[in-house]
Amino acid sequence: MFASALFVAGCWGSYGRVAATAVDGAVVANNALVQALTDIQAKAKAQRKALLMRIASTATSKSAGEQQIKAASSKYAAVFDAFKSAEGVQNALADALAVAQAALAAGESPSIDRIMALYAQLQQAHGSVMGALAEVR
Amino acid sequence: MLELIAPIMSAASKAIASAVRHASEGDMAKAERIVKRFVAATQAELDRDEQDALSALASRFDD
Repeated sequence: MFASALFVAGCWGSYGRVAATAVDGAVVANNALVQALTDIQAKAKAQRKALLMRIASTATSKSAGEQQIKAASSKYAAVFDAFKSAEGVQNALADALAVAQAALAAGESPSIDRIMALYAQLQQAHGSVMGALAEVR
Repeated sequence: MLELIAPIMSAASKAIASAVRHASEGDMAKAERIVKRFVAATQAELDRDEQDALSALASRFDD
């Protein structure tokens, strides 16, 4: 998606405008992915909490309930580890985009390679989140 | 050029291409200048939800 946006952006306009459009397109793609991750995480947190509360209200004994709550919580650990990894990659991408914006503002040509690599990593992190979520469902 | 590559772009890519094509440079600068950041849930938040469940469980069995 992101690479295509850059490719499309690179297909028209003057060079300076192309660089600005490419960075703007990258920011659009970044912001859409951040929103998607935020929404998925909110749902995962709500899903986990609902499961824990359901166990609390249906357990046949206190000790059994405690064990089940701990087990359910552990099952979700991989999901939230994946979100944490995504946060690290996304922060790196956000920093790279900010550097690119500053370069444009200074009239310089931003480096797009690092942004593209980080965006690919962020897409992989998003995939890892979805994979971890599929495991607990 | 756009006509040539359009058929091979995915739906998502088309949406971005459309946004880039239709927005003026000023609009893009205003609307998308801010780079959003994702904030992962903290362990403290997750622990709080677990503690709420343990408290609810305890309230059922502790009299």
